[in-house]
Amino acid sequence: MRCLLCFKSIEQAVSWHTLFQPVTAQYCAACRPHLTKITGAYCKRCHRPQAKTKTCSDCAKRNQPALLYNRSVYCYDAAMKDMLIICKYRHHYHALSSLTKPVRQAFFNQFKTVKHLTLIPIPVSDERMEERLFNQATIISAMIPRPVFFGLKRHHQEKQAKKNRKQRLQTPNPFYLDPHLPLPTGPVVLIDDVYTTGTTLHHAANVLAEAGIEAIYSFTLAR
Amino acid sequence: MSPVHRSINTESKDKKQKHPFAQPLRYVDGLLLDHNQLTKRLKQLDMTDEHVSVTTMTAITGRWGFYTCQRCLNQDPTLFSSFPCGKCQKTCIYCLACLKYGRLASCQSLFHLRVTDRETKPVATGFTFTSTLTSHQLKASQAIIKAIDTTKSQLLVHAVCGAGKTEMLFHGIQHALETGKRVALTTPRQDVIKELLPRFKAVFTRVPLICQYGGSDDNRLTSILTLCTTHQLIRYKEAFDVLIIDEVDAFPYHNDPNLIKQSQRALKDTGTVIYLTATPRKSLLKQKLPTCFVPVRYHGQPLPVPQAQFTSFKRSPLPSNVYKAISEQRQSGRQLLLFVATIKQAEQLLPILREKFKSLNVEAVHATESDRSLRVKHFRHKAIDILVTTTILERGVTFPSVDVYVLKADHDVFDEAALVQIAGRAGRSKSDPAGTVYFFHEGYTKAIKSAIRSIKRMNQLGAK
Repeated sequence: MRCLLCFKSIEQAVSWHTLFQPVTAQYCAACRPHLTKITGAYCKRCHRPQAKTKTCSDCAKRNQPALLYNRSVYCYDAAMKDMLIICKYRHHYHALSSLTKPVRQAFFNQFKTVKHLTLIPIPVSDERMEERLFNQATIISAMIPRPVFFGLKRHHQEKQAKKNRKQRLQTPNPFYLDPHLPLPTGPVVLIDDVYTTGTTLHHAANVLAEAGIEAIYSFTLAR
Repeated sequence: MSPVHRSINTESKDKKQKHPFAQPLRYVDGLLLDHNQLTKRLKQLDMTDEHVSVTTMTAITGRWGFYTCQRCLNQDPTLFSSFPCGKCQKTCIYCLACLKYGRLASCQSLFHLRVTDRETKPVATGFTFTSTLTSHQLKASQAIIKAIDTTKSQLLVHAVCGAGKTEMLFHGIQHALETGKRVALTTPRQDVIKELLPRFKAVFTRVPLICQYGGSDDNRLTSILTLCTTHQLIRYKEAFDVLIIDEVDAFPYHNDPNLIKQSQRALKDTGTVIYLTATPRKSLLKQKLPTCFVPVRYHGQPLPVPQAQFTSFKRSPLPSNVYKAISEQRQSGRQLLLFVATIKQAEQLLPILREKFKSLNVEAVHATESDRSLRVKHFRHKAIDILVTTTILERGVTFPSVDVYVLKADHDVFDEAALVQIAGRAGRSKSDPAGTVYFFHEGYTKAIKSAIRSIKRMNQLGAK
């Protein structure tokens, strides 16, 4: 058993419990990131943590969004940022593996009223896939035992992280649907790593709404 | 701006015109690159030149769970991880040991740059080393030159702390450069490399010298004379004619099998390895390498013999007899190096020392300290009276006139080699060859005993 970050081996006491239960991926005491879950009041649409549970000013500006609402697990703070950097830019596939259990729990809590849903991970462009060799949204969707739809595609663009807020809101819609695959019936949940301005998720939701899907939600790791 | 060009540009602008591009190109020979680095390099290289060739190899070889990473040569099966690859739609493997240099997956390739037809031209070095060597140093220096001349040779230079190992090297390196050989001087410690750089710059005034360590500016350059940490050898394969490894017994080199394999790979088949150390480990001695032994310091005086004193650290980080010893030491006019075992201990000790010695300037350095090189510099200029340090300053650093006290010398981090090296910090200058070394311990360990014994034996051998 090795730590997911420093790769030093972690000493584990052997018990009947550890013998029969599969050992889950984890961090050593020094590397364990101090993530904060979103608790308390939040914006009803984008799940931004705030003083009162109501629609936040950014969401109020969007009229008739295709995306019904977004739900997230963790706050997008320094610890979360570090973790995503290791996963996305240092290309460490297993950096998020230790979050499987809390992510699954949070997902079923938030979407317990939605029946027969399909997951759609936000895709990466072929160029990005060439460089990264995996899609971080697929990692998160693989943590949740629900059917996944891979028909959403993306044109290559500059990284969202390199743009400022204004540039992000102005970017053209990079998403399109693969015409050869049958669309999922029933509600869909878009899966992404982080919701910052929401532009990416709203773009994807618009494409899906035009194709005729009615109930579109989103679920991200961080907000 | 090409890295190859930049190495000349830093010297002066008119030199750029004098040197044709092809001349420094020779030294990209032996670089080991991943795909990104290769595309960057190829923009600067003239691929129509038939002497430049690129060999492609699979990044991770092996199967059934027994893999070898061709970049870091890691073979530990627990340090490989698999993932569903989005490009080739299969399960690919990636190496965790060298993840910090950029992920390398089994479906990616490594590229080995070769420049054939490297004529061995003599290089103008601007050698300015005038100080005369002692008879012992001269003997070692000649042995080094002889080893460089013979192909496929190995040499262990076993010289006591303060014997002047760096001075012995200069003539050998000069000889190698003159015959057109490419030289790398490596050491496991960053602090040691930074210490060596100004001394080499002063001696080899006309060589484009590069210095590589984690986070240095020179990391993309290549040259005929390279100073680097052992970790940086990961980017070379069959590149150097002469590889000098200073402080071979230091952490992390001696217990990291990958680093040892990487340094062997960086050397050409016909190359020479020279190991330098004051405290060779048993595993190195067992190899029965040709050894050159220097038991005397360059000033000819014996090594200060450490005195062990039992002290209990249970009540206070600064027990009364340590306090007394420090107060007495202040009369001698020397500076004081206080070695502690852990960073936590250093942080506990520092405020107490400042409280008790209000008139003195007390500082602490350890690995997590960002401005540690600045504090070491201040200490050298005598702006600091007492420096509390962890084992980062145990080797490779020279202060002219210091006394050395080790607190909790029985701690696990102080093994025999570390204690001998620490004791070797005292009395290194000609004007003040004496110095007191105290080991304050809570139990007389084997390491303390054998360290004192080996220092005494060195002194006996040197007196003959």
